[in-house]
Order: sequence, then C-alpha cells, then structure tokens
Amino acid sequence: MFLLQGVFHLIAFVAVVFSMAPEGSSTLIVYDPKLTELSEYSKFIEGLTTRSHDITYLPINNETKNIDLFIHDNDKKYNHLVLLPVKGKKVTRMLTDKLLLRFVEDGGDILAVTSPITQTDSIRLFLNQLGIFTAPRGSILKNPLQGENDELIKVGGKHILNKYVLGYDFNDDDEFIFSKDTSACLVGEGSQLIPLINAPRTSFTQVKNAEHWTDSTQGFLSVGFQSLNNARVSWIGSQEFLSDKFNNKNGYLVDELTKWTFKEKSILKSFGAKHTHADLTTYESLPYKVGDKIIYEIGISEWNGENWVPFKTDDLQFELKLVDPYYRFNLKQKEITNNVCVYTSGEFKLPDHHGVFTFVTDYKRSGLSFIKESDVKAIRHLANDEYPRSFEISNAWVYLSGIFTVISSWVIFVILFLITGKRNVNLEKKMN
Amino acid sequence: MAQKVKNSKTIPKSSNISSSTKSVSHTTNKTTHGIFQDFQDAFNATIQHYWKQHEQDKRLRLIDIMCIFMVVVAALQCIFMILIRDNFPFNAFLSGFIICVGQFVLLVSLRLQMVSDFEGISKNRAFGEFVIASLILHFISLHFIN
Amino acid sequence: MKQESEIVSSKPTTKSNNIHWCVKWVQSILTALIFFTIFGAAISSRLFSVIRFESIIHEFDPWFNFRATKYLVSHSFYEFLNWFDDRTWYPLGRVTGGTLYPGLMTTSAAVWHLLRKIGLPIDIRNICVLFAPAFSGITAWATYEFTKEIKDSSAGLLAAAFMAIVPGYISRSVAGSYDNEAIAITLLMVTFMFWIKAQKTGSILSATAAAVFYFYMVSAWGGYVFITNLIPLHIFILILMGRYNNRLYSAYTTWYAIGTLASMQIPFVGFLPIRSNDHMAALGVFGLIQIVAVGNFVKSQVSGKKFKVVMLVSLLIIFVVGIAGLCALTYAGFIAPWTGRFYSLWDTSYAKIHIPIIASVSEHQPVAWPSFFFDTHFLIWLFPAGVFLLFMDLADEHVFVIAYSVLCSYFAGVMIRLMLTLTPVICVAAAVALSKLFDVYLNFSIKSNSNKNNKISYVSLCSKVFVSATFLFYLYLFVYHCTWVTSNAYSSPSVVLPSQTPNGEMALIDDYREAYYWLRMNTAEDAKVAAWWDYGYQIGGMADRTTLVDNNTWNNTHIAIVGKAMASREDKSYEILKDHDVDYVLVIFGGVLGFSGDDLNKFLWMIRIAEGIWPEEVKERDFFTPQGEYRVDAGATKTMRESLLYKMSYQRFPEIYGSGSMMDNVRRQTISLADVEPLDYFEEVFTSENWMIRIYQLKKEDQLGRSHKEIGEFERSTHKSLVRRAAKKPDVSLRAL
Repeated sequence: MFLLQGVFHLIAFVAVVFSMAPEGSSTLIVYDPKLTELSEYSKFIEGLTTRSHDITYLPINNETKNIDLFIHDNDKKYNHLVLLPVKGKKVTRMLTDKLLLRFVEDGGDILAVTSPITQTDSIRLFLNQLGIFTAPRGSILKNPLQGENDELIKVGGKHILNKYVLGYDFNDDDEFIFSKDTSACLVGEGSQLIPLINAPRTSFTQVKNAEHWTDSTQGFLSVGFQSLNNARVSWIGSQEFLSDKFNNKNGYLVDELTKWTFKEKSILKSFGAKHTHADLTTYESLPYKVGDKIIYEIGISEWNGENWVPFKTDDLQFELKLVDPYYRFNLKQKEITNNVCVYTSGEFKLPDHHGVFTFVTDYKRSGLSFIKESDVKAIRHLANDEYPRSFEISNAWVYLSGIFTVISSWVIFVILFLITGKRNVNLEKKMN
Repeated sequence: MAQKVKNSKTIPKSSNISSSTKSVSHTTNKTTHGIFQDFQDAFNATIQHYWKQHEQDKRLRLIDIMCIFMVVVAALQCIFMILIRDNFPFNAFLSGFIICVGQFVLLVSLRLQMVSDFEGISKNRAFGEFVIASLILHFISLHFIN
Repeated sequence: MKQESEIVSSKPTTKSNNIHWCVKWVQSILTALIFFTIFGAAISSRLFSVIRFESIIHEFDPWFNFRATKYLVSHSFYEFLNWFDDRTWYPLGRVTGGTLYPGLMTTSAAVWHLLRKIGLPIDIRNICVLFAPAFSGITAWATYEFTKEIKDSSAGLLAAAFMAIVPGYISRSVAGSYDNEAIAITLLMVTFMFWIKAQKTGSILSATAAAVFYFYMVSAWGGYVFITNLIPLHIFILILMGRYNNRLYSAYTTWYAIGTLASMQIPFVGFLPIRSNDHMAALGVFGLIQIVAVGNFVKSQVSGKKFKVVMLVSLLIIFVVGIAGLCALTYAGFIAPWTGRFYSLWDTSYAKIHIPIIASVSEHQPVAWPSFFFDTHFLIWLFPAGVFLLFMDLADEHVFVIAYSVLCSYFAGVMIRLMLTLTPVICVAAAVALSKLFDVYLNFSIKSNSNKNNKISYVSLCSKVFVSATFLFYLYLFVYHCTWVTSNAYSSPSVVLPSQTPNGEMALIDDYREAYYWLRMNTAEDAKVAAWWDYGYQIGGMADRTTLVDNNTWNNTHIAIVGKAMASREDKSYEILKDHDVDYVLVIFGGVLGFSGDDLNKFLWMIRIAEGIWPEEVKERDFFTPQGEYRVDAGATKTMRESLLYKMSYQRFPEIYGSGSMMDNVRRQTISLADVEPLDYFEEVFTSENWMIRIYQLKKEDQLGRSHKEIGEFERSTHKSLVRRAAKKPDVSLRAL
C-alpha cells in the first residue's frame, strides 16, 4: 500500500510542478471596428489580462488580408480565440467554418459572440456543426411581457443552467442583462453541448415570413460546448452582455464564462489509473487469470484557477468490459492529498470468463473536462496445474485409493504369478 | 471366476425373460422350459470345465482372483459415485474406473493365452507383454488423475 | 518406378534352395535400396513447391500451426499447453493450448531440439516447411509394413511406392504444407499396421503399440475418430461372420482400454471418448466382445444346438437393453448428440440447411468425380480389383481393408478432405491387385511349363510379356502423371499466386504478402484487423496483428458478427466494429485480376451466417434482385450497394482507367461511378498492386460528436447550400427544458 501511495504522491508532485497553468494563454480577439468600440469592453479585456492572457487584437477592415490561426498550416498560433461580431463576406472567406472546426479539433478554445444584426455565415455554419443553431440574421429575441424596460432582455438566476461553468447558488433575485439586440439559439441533443443560459419563459424569436425560431425556454442565450479532446467553445447571443455598461450586473458571469472557455477552471486531470493484484503484484510480473483478486485505483485532480486540488465526487464509475460491461461500480474515495483524490475499487474478483478485457473509467460530466482512462488486458484461463489436484479433493481419494490398490495388487499378482509359475513348471517336470 | 460372475449375471436375466414369456402365453410353455433347461445345462457344463481348469493350473486361479478383485474395486467406485450423486472429479473417477477395466481385460487376455498359446507367442512372452502393457496403463492412469 | 519391376523380378528366384542365403542377402540389399529410392522419390517430388516458389508456409491452417510451433519453440512446453492467445478472436481470446491438436507442433519442436543437440541448428521455419515430405517417407514405410501383413512384401513395396508419389496424398503434404494431416496420415498408417499385427497374432504388445500410436494420432488430428470407428467395425464384422477368436479379444480390448484412457489426456479431446456419440461404437463393440468371449467359452463346452438358443436369447436381451440405454443417456444429456460435421457426413444437404459455417468451408464440399482420377490416376481402377481379390480369399485382415475401403469411399464422396484418408487404402488395394498380376505374369520360371510342349510356352510367354509390358507402361504413365500433377496443381502455396504475363512469361502475384507486410510495418502493434475468417491465420502469422476471427471456427456468433458488419450499412458496421475495437478492415477483391476466390464471392456465406444469428437484421433475400440474380452492377439492390463489403470492394474501382466505368473480371459485370457510394466512416489506407487486398482504416471518433455521415455530407456540400440550409429551422432533434 505504501508503495502505491508513494507513487501517487510522486505523480501528483511532478504534475503540480509542470502544470502550474494548464495551458499557455495566447489569445486572439477578432473584432470589427465599425461594430465594436474596444473601449466599451475594457472591463472584459482587463479580466483577461489580469489572468495573464497574452492578447492579440485583430480588427477586420478593408486592409485585412488574411487571418492566421495556424503557423505554416501546422500548429495553432493561438490557444484561444474571441470572435466578436464582424460584418462582410470577406470574413467568411478568410475565416472559414472548416478553419474554425480544425482549430477546435486541434484543441483551441473559442468564445463566439454573435449579434442578430450581422451574422457571419462561416461562424454560423461552424456553430451549426456543433449543434448550436443561432437564429438567422435580423431575428431578434423579443420578450414583450417583461414590463417597464422593454428593450433589454433580462434573465434571473434560475435561468443559469450549469454550475460547473457559471458557478453556484444563484437565486432569482440575481439579474443578468442582455441588450436589445440579442439572438437566441436552438440546441441539438448532443451530449457535448452544455446549455448555459436559458431564454425567458415569455420570450420568442420572430423570423420574417416563417414560424418562430424559438419559443419560451426552447431558446438559449448562451451555450457551451466541449469537444472530446476537451477544447471548449462557448457562444453568447449578445455582444453587449460583455460590455462595461452591464458589467456590474454581468461581471461575475462574464468572468466565469471566459474562465471556463479558456480552460481556467473545471479542468479535471487523471493521474493515471492503476490496477494490480490485491497483493500489489503488477500485471507485468504476473498476468491476471480468471477469478483473481484485483484492485483498481485512479487519482483525479481539479484545476481551480490557481492550483491542482483534489476532485471529490461520489459518482465516479469503473467498468470492466468485454464488448459489454461485466462489472460496473462506483469508486470510493480512498485518500485525499493536497492535490489529488485517489479513488479505489476495493478488492474485487475478476469474472470467471477468460478474454481480453478493458479496464475503463469514463467520466463525462457536462461542464467538466472529460476523463477517459482505459487499459486493455488479457485475462487468461486456469492453467492445467491450477485446478485443484485430485488429492486436494476429498471425493477423489476414493478413486485414488482405487488406483493404488489396483497397482499394488498388480505388483503382488506379478510376484505370486512368477512364483506359482515356477512351481507349476517344477511340478509338471516331476510329473513327467 | 470372472466368467462365472458374468454367467450368473446373464442367467437370472434370461430366466426373468423366460418366466415373463411364460405368463404371456401358455402354449409356448414347453419351448420356454426347453430354453431354460438349455441354460441350465450350458451353465453346469461351463462351471464344471471351469473348475477343471483351476485344478490343472494354479496360475489361472490367481488370475481369476485378481479379475474378481478388479470388478469389485470398479464396482465400489461406481457405487460411491452413485451414492454421492456427483461425478465432480470426473477424470479421477474415469482413471480409477478404467484402470480396473483395463487391468481386467489385460488379465483376461493373459488368461486366454495361458489356456492355449497364440500362434508365435510363448506363454512367457505373453506374460512379458502383459507386464509392459500394464505398466503403460498404470502410468497413463496416474497421469490422468494427476 | 524402376524399383517395382526389380523387386518383382527378384522374387521368383527365392524358390531355389541351394543359393537361398545368397538370394536372401541380395533381396535385403535390394529392399533397402528400393526403400532408399522410395524415400528419395517421396521427398523430392514434394520439393517442387520450394523450387518453384520458395521455402514458405502454404495456405491458411499451416500458418497457425507454424505460429504455434514458433511459440512452442520460444516458450516452454508448459506455457504452450496453457497458451491463452489474446491476439486472435479478439476480444474473446482463444484458449489455444486447450483447443488444438498438439501432436504436430510437439513433433517438429522435438525435431528442432534434437537437431540443435547434435549440432545442427536449423531455422524452425525450414523444419516446418520440410516436415511433411520427411514424414511422407515414413508413411511409405508404414504402408509397406501394412501391405506386407495383407499380402506379401512385394505388394508392400508396390504400395509403398504408390503411397510415396500418389497425388491424393501429396496434395496435403508438399513442402510447406505444414498441416495436421502431414503427420496424421503417417500415424494413421502406423496405427493400422500395428493393429493388423495385433489382430493377427493377438499380441498384447502390438495392441499396446497400436494404442500408443492411436494416442499420438489423437494428439495430431481430429480425424482420429475414423480409427475409433474403423477398428471396432472390423471387429464387429468379424464377429458377425462368426470369426471370433481369442486373439481378437486380447488385441481389441487392450487397444481400447489403453487407447481410450490415453486419448483423454489431450485437453482438446477431454471426456469426448466417454461422452460423444462418435465414440460410442467403440464402446459398444468393447462390451460386445466381452459377451462374445464368455459365449465362446461356453460354446467350447456345450453342444452347438443348445448354444445357439442360449446365444440368440441373450443377444436379443442385450441388444434391446443396450439401445434403450444409449437413447436414455443421450436424452438425459450424458452423451453429447452427434456433431454437425457428423450429420453432414450422412446427409450432404444437412450442412447447407443448418450450419452455413460448415458448408462454407470448401474442404467440406463433396468431391467432384474427376478429382478421383486426378488424385490417384490408374490406381482408382485397380482399387476395386484389389478389393475384389481380397474378397476372394477372405482373411481376417482382408476384412479390415475391405471395411476401410467401403467406409472411406463413401465418406470421400461426401467430403473432399476425406479423400486423404481414402488414398492409402487405394494404394494398398491397387498394390495388392498389381502384385497379384505380376505374380502370375512376371513368373518366367520355365520349370513349370517345360514338361509340356514348347509352343504353348512361347505363346504364354508372349502374353506374359505383353501384359507385363502394358502394366509397366501404366506404371510409367502413373509416375508421369504424378509428377505433372504435383508440379502443376499441388505445389502452389496459395499465398503467392502464379500467373502469366501477356508475353507468356511466368509471373508471381504477391499481393497477399505485400499487404501483410504493409500491415506489419505500418500499423500499431496492437491494431485489430477485421477480415473474413479465411484470412485470420495468415494475418496472425504473417502480419502479426490481432484478428477478430480466424480459421479455427469455434465461435459461430463471433464470425457472424464480422459477417454482419460486412453486410450492414456503413454506420451500423462502424458501430459494430468500433464495439470490438477494430482499427482496420481488410477485404479481398479479385475484380481487377479475375481472382474468383474473393470476398464478394464469399459474401453470400457471410450473409447466411449472419442471418442465422440475426434473421431480423440481415436478410439474404435483400441482396438478390427481384429476379433472383446476384448483381453487383447498376442492377444491384439497394442493400447490396449500401453494404460495407460492396463499398469497400468497389471504392475507386470504376475510375482506375479514368473512364468512369470498369468491368469486374470475376463477375463479368460493369461497375460505373454512380453505383459506388462514398465511404464516410472508413478511409482507404492500402490497396495492393493488383488490387487484390484492400485495407481500410476506421476513422477516429469525431471530436465534435458528429457522425461520420454528417461530416461526409458537410464536406461534400457547397458553401451556398449549407448557408441556405442554415437559414431554415433545423430538423434535428432539439433539446428542450
């Protein structure tokens, strides 16, 4: 046990040294000077810079030739991308949907802000591929029943949907403000989508010459997305949501959203899954066979923005699979250190079935980064000498003694036979 | 002696049958009685010859005693298996049982050669072959029960 | 072939007495010489494959045997016995040590160790390649001994010579054909030889030797069941003929008791000899012979008439009780019912209806009649003559040969692979016939005829010379035929295919090895390759990659999974294959080359096997056009065109020469570009030189959670159409709160 703990400590320590920040923070902000006055977003930008983002600004105007997201078409040039609303077909050509998809597939994070007035096709198509269907151009979210200040869309704390992304404990008194030019979106059913802010119950999106795009809580004002390689994308339907104007109301949410999108929080990391025999012998030195007693352990940490801290949960599951799961059970917290929480399966018995099994922990929770640790190992059958020997089975003693009586009596028989045989021969001779 | 055991097995069986046929049809009574008589005669003649053999050669008696012993051991194992209603160490049972059967047939083969030589094989050689075959049988049996 | 005539001519001289010892001496020298030449002929004619191609393991099963042998050589015997192979039948794995016949591997490993001990370290591959030729020499010797017991040594030598070069046996024992049969036929003949000796003399020792070799045979080949049934049949017939004697008793009971106990030592066989019905005949005869022995003892004492009555009544009772007992035991499940392969022996259409997996093996097909002649040449018509001659003077051992030939002729007609077991008896019977003929017609000793007038003697001499010359000519033809067949038909390793270039030069098509080599070099070591089971052993042996199914078709369901994946729509196949962690899919496509043994021609078997397990999801009917045709061109059904195998086979095929349509050289149908739908879930990574092997990789799961079909559609659509679609409300299922 001590050895194993030691190993975990070591891993945790090394991990802390090397991953003070989960990732580098070079950030590109793409904006249109005609639509966006950066000074109105100083608080938003200040938030990023204080969290040590290295920001590059890219205003889109007539002189802009191209937008380099990649160096020589190979590596990402930036880790994060902020897309503020831009206008014009040119952008669609420079910043194609495929380029954006590739950026995410490469692990880049995107915060996309769209406005109902200018909808860039490529960004919209990009979002469509993720399962976020923003309302078409010109379709503004309306909430006529909201009361006195008709222009602004306001949502209460109850509409904040994901605790891992935007934080905890909102009550309905909290109020967050979206501008009058807000677009809502529909969200597909993919499990990687994370609805963040729900549209008000009485709101709808009107589309010219067509049925409503969204009705009531069908629509969302902000949606997150996490790809399988844990790249994150989030979308907000209103640019002014980020602006200084509403910062006193929205500030907290904006900070949390950007932190989440740029992988500054809700990051989980596994410090390796291990499985050994119950007496800690490893698979390498003694391969598993059916019915062996095994212990499975996994250590998980969470990045809280500054440190790796133990991630505590009680719904972490372990599966032992051979096409279909043979076992599935919750892992128990075994030990909590400064950085890591070690979960254990306890001692369990391998099934009485040989085959190539997969030991897998697949932890996917909406808002947290995904963890999948899987290891394929063969579990062999009993060797011919691993069955109980016959003298260990009491029933077999009868048969065993039967055999030995036969053999011993045979020996006696042979001796007697030889003796009597000789005598007979002698007798015969005498008779003759 | 082994033959005797076998004979006595077949006789009651057939007498059962003959008695059952008796009850079925009275007209065939005579023939069934004849069959029964035949059995009786055959049995007596065989027994007589058998004892004569024994008196002539003591080794035959030895072989026969051994044969009975094999049958007894095999039967004991069978009864044990039936009593516990479980053939779990099946290999153990098989090796225990088959070694008896194997030894039995080897003994009978030896006996047949003792009574009358096979062409080209002397009695001594037959015995030698018997010993080798038995040893192989024992080895396999022990290996099988492991 | 000279040797035959030599020996036959040397024979008549034995009669003269005064130079008896000298003749004997010459005779033994001649015999040794003849054996030497027979060995030479047997081995050298099997080396064609090495000379024509190279020293390579052939076909399919030998690759597994080779792999197993390598494992045995590099590990201990204990590890071999308990080998759990996690690189086949993924993810089930195969308990290889417990499911193979270890005789072959153990023998060649023993040879390898022996040669190393005496300072001749030889590569294990070469031992495996040359294993079958070496053992064919021993087979010839065993055939000699066997036939000697049947007739005499001259017939024996003839039989040995026939056995050495008969194509029916060569077909499974050329160099490189490292299969169980290579050793099994040898052991078969040795066992029979000892058995004949045992039943002739009643020697316990011979019977024990027969049992020991029977055990060896059990350890080497599943066909041992043939011996298990033939020997009891021999005894049974003899008993029925009233030929029981005490020698039979001691031979048979000894063989059965020791043989049965010994055969159960092989893990793969296990308790079968007690449980399975295939082995029940032997047990029954064992019981019968006990009764007969008692009866015989009684008979010797009682008058014949009385005995008859006694015997009849007892037999009737025993018979009824026995049948009832057997039925009861089978019904109660103590004895396994007959296996499918066994049923298909009796009813040729049984397999076709009930067990597609058995029927799909080409070895299990009935023999075409010409192949009898092809495999045995003129022996096939000497064979009935030999059997007839044996009938004429019916000794106990002749009954054995007759039973053997009748039983085996029938079985060989049902299943082509049993041709192999028929071949030895054809050789023996033919040799008996021929040697009888030579006994008469090559007897030129004048003594017998000189008393009468010379004219007749001349006439008879002429006819003798004529007949002998004819048969010598036949022998010559036979040798010629054997050489031709061996060099042309049976020496191809089927891993490398011979072909001709347009100029008529010989060329080798080496696509298999090209592809397997590619797999070995370019894929991850633990990559899993899905292919139809025929290629499982080769992928394991040559490419060293994990396979899902292979030629050891022990799990029908698992094979059906691959069949289903091949026959289903792409997205469904992807799901199935992904569940089994498959990385690559390998298909064989002969459309370019005209190689008819490709996967599309085996497709119906895949469909049938899959349909057997999932009749709702895979339907054979859907792959045929309404007219009932198997079409692959524009007339192909939708299911056909959407199936994975179809797409994989014809992907890019119509555009080879840029014309947009292309003729499939196997099915003689034209495939055009419009017939072949794009592959979304798989990516072509390799296609061999002649397009025979195509390897596809499963695309990785999309990071963004889209299905590959969606990605494919997205990539293929134009920007404008996408924009247009985005303007409308999406018709996907939406999340609602």
